[in-house]
Amino acid sequence: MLLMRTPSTEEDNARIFGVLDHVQGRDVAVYLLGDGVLCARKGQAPLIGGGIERALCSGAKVVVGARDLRARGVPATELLDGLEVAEDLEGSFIDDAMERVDRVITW
Amino acid sequence: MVNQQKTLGVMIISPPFGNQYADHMCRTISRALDKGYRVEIFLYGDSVHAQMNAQRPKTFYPVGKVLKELIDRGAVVYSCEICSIARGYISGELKDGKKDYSSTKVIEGVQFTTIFGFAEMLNRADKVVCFGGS
Repeated sequence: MLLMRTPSTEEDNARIFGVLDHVQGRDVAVYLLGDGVLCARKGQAPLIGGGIERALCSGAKVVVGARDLRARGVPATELLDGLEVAEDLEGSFIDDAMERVDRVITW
Repeated sequence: MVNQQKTLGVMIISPPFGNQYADHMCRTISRALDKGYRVEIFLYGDSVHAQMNAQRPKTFYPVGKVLKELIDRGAVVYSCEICSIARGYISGELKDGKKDYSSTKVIEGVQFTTIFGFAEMLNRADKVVCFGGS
């Protein structure tokens, strides 16, 4: 899943995280790009950023873009534990999307 | 081992500059081309503004310039004919039995097609990624 939306759009995120909740137990990779990196911050309300925390707890791989974190002033200390920070997020996403996964969802 | 015959299909529906979707698209496609994949892009709705010639953003990501570079590197860019006519990029009028897609307003290399062309692109693509939204 490639997620590019801010966590403050509650309706969108309710849909996104609803999808994530229903894929527990399967191999899932979530790539946070652009405003999507804001979903990776700790301490968010359950309906806002909590979906990423639940995805991590269920074993999903979550990758967040370093360039977009820097652009938004989000330091590594504010990120959820267990996610990966990638300098080349687009390259990692292409590797997964083209060679490793059955389906790609973008939001 | 990367299969160099695989094709990434990309649809974008958001315009450049108002948000970052076009930037994300260009960067993602650039990495796909770096890795040897074929890439086909479909510009739909307001995203056809990415095809505008001579964009001059002073501080924003230069979507038009990068889109032309992607075309030069082998990416195939299709633009929605109806969306482009509506926004004044092409006339689409019949001329000598063919639709007139000539334009000085559009980046060289952009091809025009209909939504049926998009459906054909989906058939060719191994994976499809969509950028943009409300």
